[in-house]
Amino acid sequence: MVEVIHPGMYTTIQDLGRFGYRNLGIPLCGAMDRMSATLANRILNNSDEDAIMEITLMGPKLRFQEDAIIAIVGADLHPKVNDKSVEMNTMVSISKGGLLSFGNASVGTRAYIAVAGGWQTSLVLGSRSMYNGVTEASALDKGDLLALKEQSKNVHAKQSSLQLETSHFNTAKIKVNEGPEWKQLSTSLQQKILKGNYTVSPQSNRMAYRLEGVAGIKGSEIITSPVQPGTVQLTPSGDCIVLMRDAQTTGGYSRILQLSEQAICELAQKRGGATVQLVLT
Amino acid sequence: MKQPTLKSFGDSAILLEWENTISNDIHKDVLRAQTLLKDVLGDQLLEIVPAYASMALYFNRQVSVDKVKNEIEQLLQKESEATALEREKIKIPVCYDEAFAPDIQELVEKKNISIDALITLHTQPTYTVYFLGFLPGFPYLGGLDSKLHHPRKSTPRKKVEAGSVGIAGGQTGIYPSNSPGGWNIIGRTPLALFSVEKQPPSLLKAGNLLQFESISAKEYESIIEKVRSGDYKIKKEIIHG
Repeated sequence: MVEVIHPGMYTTIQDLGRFGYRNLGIPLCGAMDRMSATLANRILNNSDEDAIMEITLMGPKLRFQEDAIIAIVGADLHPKVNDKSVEMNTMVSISKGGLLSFGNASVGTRAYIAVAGGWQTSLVLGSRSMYNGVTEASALDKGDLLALKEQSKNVHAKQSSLQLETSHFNTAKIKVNEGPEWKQLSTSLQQKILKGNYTVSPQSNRMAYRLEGVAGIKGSEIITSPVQPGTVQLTPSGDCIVLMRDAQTTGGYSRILQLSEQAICELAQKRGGATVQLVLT
Repeated sequence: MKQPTLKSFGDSAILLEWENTISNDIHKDVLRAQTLLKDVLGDQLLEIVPAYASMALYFNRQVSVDKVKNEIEQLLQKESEATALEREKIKIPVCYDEAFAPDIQELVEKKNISIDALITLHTQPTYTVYFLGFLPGFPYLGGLDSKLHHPRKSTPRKKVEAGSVGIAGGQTGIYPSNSPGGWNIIGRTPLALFSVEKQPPSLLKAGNLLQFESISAKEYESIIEKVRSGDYKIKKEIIHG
């Protein structure tokens, strides 16, 4: 078992998402930065579908009540085991009683902690991704006990350390494709949207990132229609909203652009105050 | 069957769009396309999400979206006939007693009708479940009598109880779980609309027909008990057309 001594700012268990239920209005969910999450699993020879822990800006404090092998990938939250810094992007052994803690994120926003065999929280509708109203808890809390898989101790992890390029964390250019309503916008409005320097709002979260600071852009309401992670909505009041993994399944604002899968992962590493541009590919 | 336009929607999805309007006829074409494509596309397809006049097809990442887009276009063009639909009509018992209906008094006063008249207006129509969204299991229903159209509350409630039946604008709906919300609440159903313990987890799905049925507070309690013990049998019938 692993005990949550302190949950940090916002810590959840995620996997690749809950597929097959969006027609019932159940959001996809899953790791915000799927690339980092997958890499963490691959370092441990886990399956890509295994559950990982997503930690945000301020990491949790976790007490390992048994030996375990872990890997941390994503934002640099300065991980420590028993107060000694440990490396990211490679396997790390933790002995029984070990305390995993973090500093504040210096690069990026979200990091992923994989354990050999994946975190064994409850599987709900085929996924361990936490979501309010679907799983029992929507985030980890102090005192939670998380089960590990038995074979954790004898892992033949890949010795090669895998790492994402630094541009994954510091690129300001978010790659987008045209969304369903893009062609309905005037050319001058399209230009304005693509030339804008946007500021990520501090109110951005797993459901949506809000992009602010570009004046004079306006969308319209549409008859409610499907949306997905990466859909950029432009509202009549000029709010530019990028839907993320916990987004609703349908929406009523014009869908002007659509982020690529990679761009969703890169945006998920931005925090409030960051500047980004939308680049049409 | 009317032909939709197909658009790529991100890396691995296709959006089908029909004439941009909320109507039963258009929605029937959405349902027809859904049935057809589910059969033909099989494993390539991860999920289909229908809405009023559009539908998203989400594919496995290995699938070439451009190739499958052409296949779908050809497939739908062959399907010019409007095939008959089989639809489930589900009776939803609702208790309209004030204890479950915090906004019913205000609504009947504004509409200048009696509570009985409101209940009749609300229980007479057969509603269409256009699709589910907003919350897991939340039905977007079409067919509300225009006499009952009413704007949503200016200040949303912090908590609306699961099962609450409400009116907002030209729509009526049922809250599947406790949630903040701004709809005018006129009753509550003892049925569970959404439960992750069940397969499927949602009582309703796109294309269902639905009728509300007025019940007393006593019946409400008795149905709650039966739902709990698994003895409640939901009233439903198959409608062709």
